Amino acid sequence: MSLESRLVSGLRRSKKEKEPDRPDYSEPDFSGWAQKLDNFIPASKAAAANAAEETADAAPAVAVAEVVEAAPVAKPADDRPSLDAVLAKLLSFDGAMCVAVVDSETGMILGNAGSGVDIDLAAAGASVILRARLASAKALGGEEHIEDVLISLTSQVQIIHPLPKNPSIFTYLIGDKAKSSLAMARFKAAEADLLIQL
Amino acid sequence: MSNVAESLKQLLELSGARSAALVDSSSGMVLSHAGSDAHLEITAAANTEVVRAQLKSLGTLGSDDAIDDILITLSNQYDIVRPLAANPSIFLYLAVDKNKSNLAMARYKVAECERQLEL
Repeated sequence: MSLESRLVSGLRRSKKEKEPDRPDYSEPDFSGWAQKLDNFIPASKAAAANAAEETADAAPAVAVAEVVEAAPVAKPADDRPSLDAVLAKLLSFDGAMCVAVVDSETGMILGNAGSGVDIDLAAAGASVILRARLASAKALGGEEHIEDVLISLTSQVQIIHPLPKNPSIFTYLIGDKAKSSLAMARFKAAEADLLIQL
Repeated sequence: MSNVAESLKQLLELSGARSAALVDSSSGMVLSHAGSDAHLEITAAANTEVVRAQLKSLGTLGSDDAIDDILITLSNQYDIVRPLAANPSIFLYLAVDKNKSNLAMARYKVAECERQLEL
């Protein structure tokens, strides 16, 4: 079950179980979110405005479910592919073993594709690496902007590529060292920046 | 074969090189350095954390891989970290200017320096 659908079913469940004397927290107002997202993605503003009109027309209860489902995918009118499609595209470099999008603050995986590695553990490890470097940079006094970290091991190459828009989220690529080109994998990771929408 | 100070000086001859150092990741201390970087101590400590985190991650994964090198791209600088094959707790560190250097060449030079290094 995808994260979004779990969130939605969680929302519905909490709505059913809510106590009568408590204020209703179960239907948060997502309209502010949509506005913020619009500001973030100026290119898709016009398209987003159309979508906002569509959601406004729908009945409120349905609208909540729709927005919850739509929010992680930014704006539905956007022609950028879904996270799974981006991950599949990322996995297309030669020698690719595993790719993932990871939240470095928790070490949790937002989406992954491929096999051959314990991706949960590897992602947690990569998060620690990124956080360690950023924390030390803070000690230096200035904010450090990390574009990417390329790690060559004996049998693997790994790429940690924080998203420019949200540096705490990073794309994580693991490839077979004998089969993959580090430069090509790095290029793929940078290319995916424009496609990933969270 | 060359000694540490000489090797580091050679690394600095690379175009765009800012500073080079040999760092002990078990303590974070700089064993030897060349070039002028006011923040060398702190960047060495930062990279120590990175190497330690990676070693720990490899340990948790039960992998018997070793780290060949770690390249960190910053806004205007590349950091190249390369643990010594003979002693993985000690690493070579080279900072190069992103606009004036060639990452592939810098990486090759560091690998070469690591092979020749005699502690």
